[in-house]
Amino acid sequence: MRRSALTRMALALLSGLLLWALWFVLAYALHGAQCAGALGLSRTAGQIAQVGLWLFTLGVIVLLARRAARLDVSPELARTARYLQITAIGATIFAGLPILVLAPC
Amino acid sequence: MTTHQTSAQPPVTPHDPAALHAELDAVWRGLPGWRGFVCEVNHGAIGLRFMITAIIYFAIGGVLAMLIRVQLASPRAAFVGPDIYNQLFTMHGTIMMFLFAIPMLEGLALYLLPKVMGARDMAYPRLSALGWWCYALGGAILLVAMLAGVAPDGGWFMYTPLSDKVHTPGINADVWLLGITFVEISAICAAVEITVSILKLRAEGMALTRLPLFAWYMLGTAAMMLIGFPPLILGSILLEVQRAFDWAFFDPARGGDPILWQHLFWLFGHPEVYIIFLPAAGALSVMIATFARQPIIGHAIIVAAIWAMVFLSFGLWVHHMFTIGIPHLALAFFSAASMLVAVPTSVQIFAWIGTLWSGRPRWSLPMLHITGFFLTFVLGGLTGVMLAAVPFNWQAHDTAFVTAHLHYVLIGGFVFPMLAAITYWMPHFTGRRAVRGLGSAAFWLIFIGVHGTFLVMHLTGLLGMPRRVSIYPDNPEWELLNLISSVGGFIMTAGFALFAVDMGLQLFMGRRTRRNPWRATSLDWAMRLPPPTYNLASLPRADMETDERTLTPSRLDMLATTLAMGEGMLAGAPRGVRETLIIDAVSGRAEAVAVLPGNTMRPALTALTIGLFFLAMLAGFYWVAAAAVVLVAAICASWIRPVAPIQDTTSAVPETIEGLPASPFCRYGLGWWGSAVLLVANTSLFASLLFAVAFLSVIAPGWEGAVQENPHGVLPMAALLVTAIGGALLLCAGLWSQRAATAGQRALAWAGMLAVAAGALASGAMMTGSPAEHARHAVQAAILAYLVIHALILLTMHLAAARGHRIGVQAVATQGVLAQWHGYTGLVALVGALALAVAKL
Repeated sequence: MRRSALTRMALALLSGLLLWALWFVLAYALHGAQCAGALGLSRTAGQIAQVGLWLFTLGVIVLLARRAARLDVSPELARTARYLQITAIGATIFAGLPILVLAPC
Repeated sequence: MTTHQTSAQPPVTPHDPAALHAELDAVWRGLPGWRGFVCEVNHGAIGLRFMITAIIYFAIGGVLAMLIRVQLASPRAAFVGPDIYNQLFTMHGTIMMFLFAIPMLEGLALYLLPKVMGARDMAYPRLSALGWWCYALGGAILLVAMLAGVAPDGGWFMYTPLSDKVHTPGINADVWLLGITFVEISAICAAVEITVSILKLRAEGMALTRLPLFAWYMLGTAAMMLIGFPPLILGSILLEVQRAFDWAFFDPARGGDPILWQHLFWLFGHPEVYIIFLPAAGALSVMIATFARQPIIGHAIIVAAIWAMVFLSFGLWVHHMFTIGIPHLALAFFSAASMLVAVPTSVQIFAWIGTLWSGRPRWSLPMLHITGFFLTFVLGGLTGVMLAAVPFNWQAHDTAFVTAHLHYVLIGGFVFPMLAAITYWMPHFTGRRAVRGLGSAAFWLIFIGVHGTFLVMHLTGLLGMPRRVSIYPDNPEWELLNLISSVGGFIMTAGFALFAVDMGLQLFMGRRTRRNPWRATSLDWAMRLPPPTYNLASLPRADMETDERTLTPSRLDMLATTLAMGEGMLAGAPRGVRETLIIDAVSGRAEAVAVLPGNTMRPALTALTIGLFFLAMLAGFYWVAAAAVVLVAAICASWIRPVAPIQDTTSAVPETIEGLPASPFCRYGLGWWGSAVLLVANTSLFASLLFAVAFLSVIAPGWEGAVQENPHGVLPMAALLVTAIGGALLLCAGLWSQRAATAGQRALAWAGMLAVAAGALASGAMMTGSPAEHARHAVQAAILAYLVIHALILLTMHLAAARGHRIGVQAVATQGVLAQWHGYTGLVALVGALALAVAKL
């Protein structure tokens, strides 16, 4: 019960940025593997995979942000959570924009 | 060895303050003489020790910097030769980063956190002491090496292949790798200590929403240390193993890759900047609120900014590696993340400026240093954004411009805030007021010196001067700029010397001060000065106001009086043991009473034995090192002894104190929390190891070389399968053993341990080549060694728990911890076996 309150609060605060971190690691790993020829992906397929991963992550973060807004936490924590979710969305968009304009390797 | 101090006096009424304080003093005071030095575990004393030791190292690092500046003052100086010069700049960077900045923040946290949160001590006093001993001894190894002329000389980031055995054949690099790893034990200890203390040891009613900003900052810092330090620890271990046993992790000719070191180092190295900045920012938030005479504006958005920095700062590490030939898209990822992190940093700067703008600032001495922080750090941040841009970074990489930038960031972001913090909390440390006059002069000398040294250094870098050159005879255009930098450096040093004199005068000649000289509103000033070892005679109750945002100085004074009169919780020490309150992490509701250990020499003994291990490794006496490991395990197992008589009961009925159970009877006691937090760091280490496997197998140019892949015959696969089955058994035992140990669960755990160890050892025996032959075998051996070590740790824990149960430790206190380690070891065995199978190792 008490642990779940802490978990709930941590998720409300940090889920967006955790996902951002996960996406960042996956995107960098996918990119590295593609450029090293480890996945056998063509340039276009690699780019499509990157864009897909980016959009998918963005979608999940937005969904989580909406869920986090409905969580039963104090108003102040809810406000902090909102700022953090917005940061996560902004960070994902900004750090992912290069995928649209740059060649993968 | 543990000294149980009990009061000989009869219990007192809570309204007899003098007797109350005498009773507490009898329980909490340190031992006299040398035993006091060796056995001390109290957070206040250990925190001060950390800070004093760090300041001594800062002075040593500063002297080294001046020697560098003397050498660079003229283009052909023969003040020191290139070999000594290499040692000078390596030791300067190493000392400032590892022996000054991080220990200083640890000391500040250890000293202040219980005080600002209304607690009596940190969660694990012995761990604090162990941390200091590891730091002091690890630092001593580095210093002795410097005096002996065998100091590290490969730069403070110790890049391979320069630091490998071929290019650095002496023990210089070993000194760095082993000494720094020793010191990092202290950082991990501090991170665990800080995290659990903030989450669990606060005043009753101090919900997370009322957590002081300083504690929020320290929580973020501790989280970063838990994630950020393990990659460097792993890198140091791998490089030392390569140097000592010729395993091929970083050798491209044998399937390794020197770039792997850069990744592991900067995975730590860049977050390190924020690990240093965040505590400084926490101290700034406290001081700015005090001097602006109003709470910091934007509390919620600052908390958000802290956590945004914690995460974003882990996405920047590659910007130190922009010139190594990374594809453009990856450069863009890291360039974008590097720019992003400026946003939460700016949010904090604007919040502080807004607070000063809307408040009624008092311009005391700490505010001068805070102004120095603003001007210097913002300039450093701006050049940081410049360096985040890839084209500029390519031009400025490895030039004096980068040196200037990092000094602006570190002096602005850490040194000025620490100078402000020292002047602000000096009355707290000493109980004495500042002696007027010298402080301002010291500030101006430091400020002029810093900008005199490093502002022109930007230009020197833009004119092309590389870092780490000792002479520049063919570049007369750098001459005047370097001379100005050297003069600035000496002005700065004069300022620091004057600052030290000022602090000395305050310590010995300052007038005694009253309780709250700055009229602050944080709880650390709600005690007499200098504070007693137990901080507060009684701890705040839920109905008492403890929120720094709503308290006023006069209400804080009233609270201090109330607590000193013993009208709060846990007044005095009637049970003759050291107690503090455990609360629910989110709501702040009181959960239990923690019984904390008293003075003991176990931490010093443990650190000495760890030191023996490192020295034996340095000297190449590997059997002595192995014996030291066994000794460390034995001493650590002895820590499980009950820390106070209150635990010496096998009664099934929990003893209660003021209606709360004592911590040994709690399912989720401090042991459970500490172990959980330690496992976060352990997970980071294992993830770094998996990263190393993935990186080498995908990127290393020689990975697919002449060496033959493991054939994946029946026997090797069977060994991996046994490891995986052992992992699954341990996972089941972990899930099963959450509450109580049963015979079935114990059998499952033992079977799991044996299977993991046997499977891993068998896999090792069936490797197709030696770790010295190819990186493939080296990483395979590293993973298998990790699994075997964890099986041995579990075995030690089982033996210690069994002994603990015999001598009266409550089963509930150990069961949860064992469950975590069963689960963790099971999981890493499964993942490790899978990784070995997939990577065809």
